Amino acid sequence: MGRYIIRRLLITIPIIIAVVILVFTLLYFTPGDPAVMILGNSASTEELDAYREYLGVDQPYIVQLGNYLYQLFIKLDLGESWVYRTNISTEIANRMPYTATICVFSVLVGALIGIPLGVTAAVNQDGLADKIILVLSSVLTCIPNFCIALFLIVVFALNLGWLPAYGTSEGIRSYILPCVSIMIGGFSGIARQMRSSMLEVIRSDYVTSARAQGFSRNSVYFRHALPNALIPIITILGTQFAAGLGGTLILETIFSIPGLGLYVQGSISKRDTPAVLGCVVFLSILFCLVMLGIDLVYALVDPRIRAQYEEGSKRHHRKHGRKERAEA
Amino acid sequence: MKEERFSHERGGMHGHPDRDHHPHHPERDHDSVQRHAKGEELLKVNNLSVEYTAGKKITHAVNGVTFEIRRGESLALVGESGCGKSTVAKAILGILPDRGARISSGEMLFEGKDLATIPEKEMEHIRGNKISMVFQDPMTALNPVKRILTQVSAVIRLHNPELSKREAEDRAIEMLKTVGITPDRVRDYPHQFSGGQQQRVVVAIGLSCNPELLLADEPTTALDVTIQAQVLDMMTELIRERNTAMLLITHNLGIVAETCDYVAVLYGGEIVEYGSKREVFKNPSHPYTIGLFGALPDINSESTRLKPIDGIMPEPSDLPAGCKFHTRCPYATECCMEGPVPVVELGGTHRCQCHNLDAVRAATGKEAAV
Repeated sequence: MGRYIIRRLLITIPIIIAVVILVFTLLYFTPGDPAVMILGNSASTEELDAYREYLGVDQPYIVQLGNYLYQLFIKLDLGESWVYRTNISTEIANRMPYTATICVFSVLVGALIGIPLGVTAAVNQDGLADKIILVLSSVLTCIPNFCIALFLIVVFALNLGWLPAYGTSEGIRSYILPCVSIMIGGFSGIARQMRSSMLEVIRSDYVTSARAQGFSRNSVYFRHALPNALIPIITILGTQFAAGLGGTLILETIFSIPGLGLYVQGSISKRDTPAVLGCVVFLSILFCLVMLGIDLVYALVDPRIRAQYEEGSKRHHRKHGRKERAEA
Repeated sequence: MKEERFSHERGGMHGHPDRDHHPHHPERDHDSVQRHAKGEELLKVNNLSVEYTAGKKITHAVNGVTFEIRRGESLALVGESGCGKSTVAKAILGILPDRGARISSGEMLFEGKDLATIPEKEMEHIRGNKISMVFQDPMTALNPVKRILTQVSAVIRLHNPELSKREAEDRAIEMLKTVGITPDRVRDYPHQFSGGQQQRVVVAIGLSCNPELLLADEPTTALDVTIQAQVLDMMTELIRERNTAMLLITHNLGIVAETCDYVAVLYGGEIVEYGSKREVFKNPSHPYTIGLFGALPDINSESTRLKPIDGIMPEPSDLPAGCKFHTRCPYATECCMEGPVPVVELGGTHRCQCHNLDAVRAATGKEAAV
């Protein structure tokens, strides 16, 4: 298990290199001159040249890329923002809590609503509850979250005045609308996935045999089927969380929350290459860690997967165990 | 027509004659007569019909099946896939799919009570406790995320709530030992076992509460041929020790010959031939049964090819009128194509559902049995 985790952590390094090269290249070839963007149109040619030299953007593509990779992997430094001259690591650390709060709460609440809804739908397959949940979740999945956000602002902030429309000054109350906007799409996705996963498990033989052994319907649904049906949901939750970290960009803009999304968006429009790269590197590492976390949770709940990770350990190298892993 | 009750004298078809693997040794039944006390009636299925509804399509899976099983006896339900064998077992246990499946007629008297009308709460005490089931595929019948000890002891505790967790586990370990799983492996997960061992675990779960009746739904079909005999022997040994009755569902006549006292041949959801093993094996009368025997390889026979039954089984949703077998039957005449088919008593417990038994006998060179 330990070796597996180390291997997975090492794999993140090539992933990050690839992501950095890709994003760096995209930014390099995007038209627009960072010096002009920062100094403005009134700057003289000499000033611009001097500033380009200062930023290092007068050098060839490959040298710039090499410099950045050197700075990132050898000096372990995300560098300074071209525009604000601030340390990017500090900037990310300051903004991360806002984004993380939104992500964690929206995914958690989404799961708490979505999982019971999905289970209810599956247990009453084709019943009234199932139909209502299916229609509701289909409709809600289809509406983009910024539309929901705008709708919520109009109703709850402008008309009813219950909640603030922007900013983070009012503590938890400020987070309710952004979280709900993300959560609505999230929980309907989880509910649909939970429903199909639960149905698949309910139809499986071991659930029928649990019934045949005399366990009551509810006991079979919740003690035998649910734990197995939850396994695929872990992936959905992890992916939603990881995607949320980078994807709150629009919502942070709408609600003026000074999180990571707003920072990335601002940096892209100002051609602030190191800031964009810094955020991308940070998010990639986080994404890889979340995915590793998902796999570890999988191993925790499913002994078959655990056995795969424990390949090296002796206990599981019994004849039959090995044979069946090979078949799988 | 299916009203006949089989008031056969049970001379004692009990006990298990042969451990040898010869399908054609029904005579040996006689030797084992009178080993056990005569079984009293345990399960009596009368005119059972089950249908599945999917949209507007109605599938008549089981059509008026009648049979009975006495304590300690075993009955084989033989037939092709789709003939309704498993549906019979699921109907008895009350685990037909929630949606679409319906018992449209008949009763299933178990110890005098109709299983079809017993309330669900009471049924839960019967399932796994008095009637239990062994499923076809052990790989999928065990919960993949629970240790086998947990799975066995959970059933024991469910039906014996007075036991402590510890006591239930001890009994589970004992039970697993009986089926040949050593105590050092009981804390392993199902995927760590081979198919044969998994089926042993499934049998352990099935027998852990000493049921009166075991429903075995093709218990060896998913296993390697080399392991089938082992698992089957172990299973029949255990049910004989415990005087458990068994309904064995299979398409394998060799297994029937080895393990069962009575045989019911199922086609299109109807029992086309019924009798003691000896009666059916010695004197197969229904054209379908004869066809089944023709499709069985015989190591002593000169012929190099098996004789398959022509055609395929009709869709259970689209069964022909009259005799369900007439579309494939070489002896079919006009009267077979509509109306109910008479049940002919052939003496003893033997009965057969066919219009043209005389023609069949003439063609197969057998003299009339009655």
